[in-house]
Amino acid sequence: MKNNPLKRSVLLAAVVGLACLALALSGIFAPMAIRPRLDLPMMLGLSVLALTIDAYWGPAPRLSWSALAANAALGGAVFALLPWCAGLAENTPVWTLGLAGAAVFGLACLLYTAALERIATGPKAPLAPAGTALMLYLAGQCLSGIL
Amino acid sequence: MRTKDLIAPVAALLAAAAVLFGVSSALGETARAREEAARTEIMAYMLPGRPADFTQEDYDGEDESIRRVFKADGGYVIEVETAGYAGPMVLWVGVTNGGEVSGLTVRQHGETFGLGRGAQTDAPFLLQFLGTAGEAAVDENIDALTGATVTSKAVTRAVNSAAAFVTGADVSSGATEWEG
Repeated sequence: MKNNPLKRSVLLAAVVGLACLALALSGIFAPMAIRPRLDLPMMLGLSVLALTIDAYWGPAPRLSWSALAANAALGGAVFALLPWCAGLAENTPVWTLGLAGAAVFGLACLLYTAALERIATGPKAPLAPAGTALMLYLAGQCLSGIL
Repeated sequence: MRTKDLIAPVAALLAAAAVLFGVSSALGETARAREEAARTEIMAYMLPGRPADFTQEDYDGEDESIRRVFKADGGYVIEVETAGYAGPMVLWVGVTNGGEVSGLTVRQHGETFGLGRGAQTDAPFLLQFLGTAGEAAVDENIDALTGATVTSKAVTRAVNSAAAFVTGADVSSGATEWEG
């Protein structure tokens, strides 16, 4: 598992699954709470969280283009399937969520890996994964606002 | 990358999907019942006399921003979707049978922290709409939220759309167009 280049997709499924579970349960225990939408910043935030957990877990195996494409496809499947199963995709077609999820997670994997390699000052740089995540999330929010 | 590397992520995805589907199927009815009860409780505060019974009515008018209409003794609560600064906003607007706005609340939005988010919580801003009857206009009888003119105009369009539904003037109000 530790050397699996698709470990990030496993973590993404766990993070998105927990987020969907929390939202589904909030529909029961706080039915009138204003819940966040599954939009691009939310997808990016969940993707970056999974990537940060992966970075703290241990050094990731080198990312090849084939692994990146497989991660993106799995990311699309995660963002399409899990919200639909939780009943949270009422107003958005599942294929739209899948395409957006694949694009967001694929890009996040690529940019996070590249930025982390440059930001880390050495093999033990404890703040580098969190700093990279924050930078990428803020940049993504700005881009989403422009779009 | 080897083919067997796919086993773990696909298994994790299917396991998470199965858990979520189970939770959603088992608790879906309870969630819907509790949501309806809470919705009625909130809507009761938006009309005079706090009516306890609301019936959903079909809407076949021209205003595409009106999503749902609930009728009670004292008037209507209308769910309106409008284009905010950072995506669609959904509001509930209470309008009396005479066409006056008697309550409003923002139910969904993605507005910016510290700026447009005030549309949900800024009482002085929201109170300005009470008593209007479709003539609300930013910079005329409505003071916009500081730094959130687009959001303020979006709320204004939604409120005017809801009032126009009751007064019969619900032709397309432009509430689905960004900044109208």
